Amino acid sequence: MSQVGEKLLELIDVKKYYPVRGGFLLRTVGHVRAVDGVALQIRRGETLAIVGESGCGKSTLAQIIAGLIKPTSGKIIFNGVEIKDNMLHDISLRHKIQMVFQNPESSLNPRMTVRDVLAEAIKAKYGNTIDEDALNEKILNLVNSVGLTPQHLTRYPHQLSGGEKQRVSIARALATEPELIILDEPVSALDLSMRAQILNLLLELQQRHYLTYIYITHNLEQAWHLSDRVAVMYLGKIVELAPTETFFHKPLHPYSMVLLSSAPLLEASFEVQKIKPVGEPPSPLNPPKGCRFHPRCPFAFDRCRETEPRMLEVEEGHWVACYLAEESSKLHNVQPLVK
Amino acid sequence: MSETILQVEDLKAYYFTPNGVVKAVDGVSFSVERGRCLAIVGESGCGKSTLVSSILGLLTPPGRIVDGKIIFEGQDLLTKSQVEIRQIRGRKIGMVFQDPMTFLNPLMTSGFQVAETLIEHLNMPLAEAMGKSVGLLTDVQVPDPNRVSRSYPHELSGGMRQRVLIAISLSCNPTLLIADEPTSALDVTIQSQILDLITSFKEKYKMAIIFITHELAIVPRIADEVAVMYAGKIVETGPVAEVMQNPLHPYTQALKNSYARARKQILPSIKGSVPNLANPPPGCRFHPRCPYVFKPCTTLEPGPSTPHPDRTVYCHLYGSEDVKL
Repeated sequence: MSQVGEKLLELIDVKKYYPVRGGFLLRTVGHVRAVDGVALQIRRGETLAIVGESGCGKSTLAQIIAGLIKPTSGKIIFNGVEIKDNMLHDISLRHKIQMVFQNPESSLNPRMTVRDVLAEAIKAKYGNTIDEDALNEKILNLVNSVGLTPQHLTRYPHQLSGGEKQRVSIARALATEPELIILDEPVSALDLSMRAQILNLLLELQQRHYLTYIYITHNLEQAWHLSDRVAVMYLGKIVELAPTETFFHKPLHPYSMVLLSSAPLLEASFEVQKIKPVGEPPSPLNPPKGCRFHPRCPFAFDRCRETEPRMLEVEEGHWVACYLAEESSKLHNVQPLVK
Repeated sequence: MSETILQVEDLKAYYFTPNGVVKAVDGVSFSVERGRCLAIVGESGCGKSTLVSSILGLLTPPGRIVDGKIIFEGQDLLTKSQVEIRQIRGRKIGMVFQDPMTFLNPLMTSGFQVAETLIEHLNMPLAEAMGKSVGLLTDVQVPDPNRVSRSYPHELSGGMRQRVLIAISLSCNPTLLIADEPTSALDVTIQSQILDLITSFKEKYKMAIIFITHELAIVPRIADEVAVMYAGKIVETGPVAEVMQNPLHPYTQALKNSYARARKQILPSIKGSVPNLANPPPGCRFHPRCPYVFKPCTTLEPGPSTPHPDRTVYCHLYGSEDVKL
């Protein structure tokens, strides 16, 4: 296990609302609350898995952190410096945070060879004036570190397999020597036998370069394998945040239990209370009042329908937003996460 | 109670492309009994979907069935005309596919699409068919079936569309249901609900089910038997519990091992990638990636061997009869 260091990234009450326009004059008639008040801290060297179903806002959150979209409100503090609106232009920050996307088909330019892709990323950091020898050396180092050979350099994306393309995407992310890499479902598009190879590569690179990962996935197996902590998102909010071992053996939020009982896990040793999932996630345009999970929750009671539970720390490092967990544990040291 | 519904014998389906003959399905045999579910597991490009198209008579040029038999309820489907196949497909053989949106007509309400099958196959009058379609939608546990039956596919969520597709496939009480990756595009909680639904219908109507998937982990949830495919061939078959517990073929073992178990450990992975089926490796098709490869593997194709009753594995490690060591 990697050692975990000081705080690298902090999100304070980050929100992203998308306006929905309708009617004759296309006035704003409502908002899709894609990310609705997320608070998180990520420490250097750790892997935080963000799990959730499609539409829960996990990819939006990833893109906010990567600076690809601007949050509606909230603060993002990276390495002690608040990232302001000018993040999009602040090149030095962008080098430190890189992203690997789910689909390598659409994230690699079909007209650029592997060498072009990597050279572009290196020049983005070192400038166009970098001399040819230094550039070549850096490119060779990169392809070696992701398990490709120099023969791959002259190939175009369509000449590579899915796994090789994803290796190129990872090499491109490494080119600017980042501290934080956001991995948005990096192996979901790959075949089973390729998946293991890429997961191994990610573990190896993390140890070698002391990288911090945010691993976005809907696959709990991968979260178990790679992460130090797991955050569960439901309809734009984090509902549970716990160290990985705790999360898999002692989840507290009913939604986490539903996820764990319905996920196809080969390792059936997690003794989790089995809850059959009912219904489908409601629209983030009009989330339910109170706890957002209450219409699908088998334990919901009156309070859940009225007011929204806050994130509370029920144990060291184990946060959950659920009245049940709050009541049952009768906590000794309860602190709200968001003031 | 072991009535064989579908028996596939030595099926060969090739694609005749300008770049050579792609042997997508190359000598595949299996059978499914009434009330049982067979899962066919394999990675993309292993020939699963060609196999489905062949059984349904939907293989189009340059694809062609070269050899073999597909015996459905005692009759060889390959000797039938397209007209006869049309009467079986949809009526006796139901189908559910991965992406419901491409199989539902966006211009028709979902209720009418269910009714259409009843009208086509059972000559049911429209009013009666529409009434029955609401009943079928209720059976697949659609909330508010009256509303859903009047809705167009784009108004429904992915899980709902998949339920509508299941209602269509079940409308004529088929004896065989072919489900090709029906849950791969769905979220885990919805996937779990759909798998439960399919299992409940298997028990209720005593259907035979062929469940195609690339996800080994969901096989124990749904299937009774499993067949593992690699590069156009079945490499191992057997009861699910035994195969999952103790996989025999090195490919099945590797698939099982590539699921994460211990945290932060390097996973045993399969080296290399899936071979090009236009030019598959000689001998055992898995040999270039196999950790246990030895002399006969590179030249001789392994025949079936049965190290345990009910189980068949195509691997020289288990001493198929045609090899003398």
